[in-house]
Amino acid sequence: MSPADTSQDISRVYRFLAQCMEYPDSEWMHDDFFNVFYNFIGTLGATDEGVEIKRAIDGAKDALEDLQVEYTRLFINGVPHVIAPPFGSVYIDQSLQGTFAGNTLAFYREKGFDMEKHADLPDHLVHELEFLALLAEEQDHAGEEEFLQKLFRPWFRKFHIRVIDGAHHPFYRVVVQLIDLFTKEEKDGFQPNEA
Amino acid sequence: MQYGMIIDLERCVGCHACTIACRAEWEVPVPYQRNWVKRLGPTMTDDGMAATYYPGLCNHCDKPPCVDECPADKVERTFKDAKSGKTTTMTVSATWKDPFNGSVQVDKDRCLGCGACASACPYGARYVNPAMADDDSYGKVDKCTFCMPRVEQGLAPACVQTCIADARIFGDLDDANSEVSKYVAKGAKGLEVSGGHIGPNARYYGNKKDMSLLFKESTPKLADMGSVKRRAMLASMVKPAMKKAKDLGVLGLAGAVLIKGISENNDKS
Repeated sequence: MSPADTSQDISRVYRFLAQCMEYPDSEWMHDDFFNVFYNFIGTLGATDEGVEIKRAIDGAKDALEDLQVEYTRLFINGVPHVIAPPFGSVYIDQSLQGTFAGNTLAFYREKGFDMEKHADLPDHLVHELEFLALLAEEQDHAGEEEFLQKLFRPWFRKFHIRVIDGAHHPFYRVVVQLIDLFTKEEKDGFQPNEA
Repeated sequence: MQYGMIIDLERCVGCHACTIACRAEWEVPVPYQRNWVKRLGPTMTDDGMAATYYPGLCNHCDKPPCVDECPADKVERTFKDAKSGKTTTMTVSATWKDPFNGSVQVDKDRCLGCGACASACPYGARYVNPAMADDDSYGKVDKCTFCMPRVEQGLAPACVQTCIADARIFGDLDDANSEVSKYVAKGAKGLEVSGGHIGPNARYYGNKKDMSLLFKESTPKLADMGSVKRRAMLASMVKPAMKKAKDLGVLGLAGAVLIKGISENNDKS
């Protein structure tokens, strides 16, 4: 496998994970998506998690609505409060659009990217995953590592825990674990031989 | 027994006959290679102006880091000593170190093609050929086998047989009377990784300045099984799922927020 092939593979994974963290919509969250998703996690050995999600999806009266409700409760607006806002600044600056968001945007610009007008805040999880996909595509491994270490992992670790603790639907619990798996750094304590 | 190979840099003329013989013998497809010859120098070393070659191959290490990384399920495998007929059974993944002759081998039938072993090899002596992918793998890993099928028939490895300068000597490093052991006694040394001890069994012999250049330029580090490579391995595992995702159009729909293009048009493959 050439480095370019590998980078393309990694880029696709980041894009797929970004897609998973978009608001659930029938435009993309349909049977084909779930077939790919089950295949994806099955390949990684998470068969039990796949079965759990399939059971939740197949057993629901309206699976899409369930996921929309869960997405809203976890990431947009919940009662008494949103569980896990998907913005880095919330965890680092304790506010939306803090210095951390600015630093994130500065990093995008340093790498030659900028936000489109309709984009959410720069430190939104989906945008950060898309940015990682672009860095991987350009084979900028050093940039990818730097971004992960300085601007992604510091807040994602906290976000990840909140979702795991607060999720009712297994889909998002598994998605954040997948993101964790693919973005985990050596400093996070990964053991290479655990496979 | 520990098979090993001496490369006599005083004799090597850098003709690449060894690399061609290997490619021909094992039908190694371009751009992959089981062995290589790199030109080093001319450059000034502490011992004077030096220019030499680095003929490299799998080192069939005493403690091969590639073997531990193989994620294939372990199975029992019985090994037989070609000389004594003695057998022993070990549990191995898809790659292992032979308990009798010390060579490091691969079972292509069981290889998953994940590339973990190739990433772990500090010498870059393994490659994954994606063209050999089957229903159970993403390709097959390949490497120098010390030409074991030839050796078992009493032949020399292809690279040794073809070397026009007799710069390659193959034999048993555990046999003090073997030619290879005599070279070791004279000072032939392996390219040990910096900061580690994995015991490479290809050994190099040459004059002081050429050896100085070889070791300065070609001493590898233990492979970084760090985050990037781990991600690469994981991504390789889910590659078929991601290809399907792209084909079905459920990849990259997430909002195009960063300029330079984030749409599927940017996904060249």
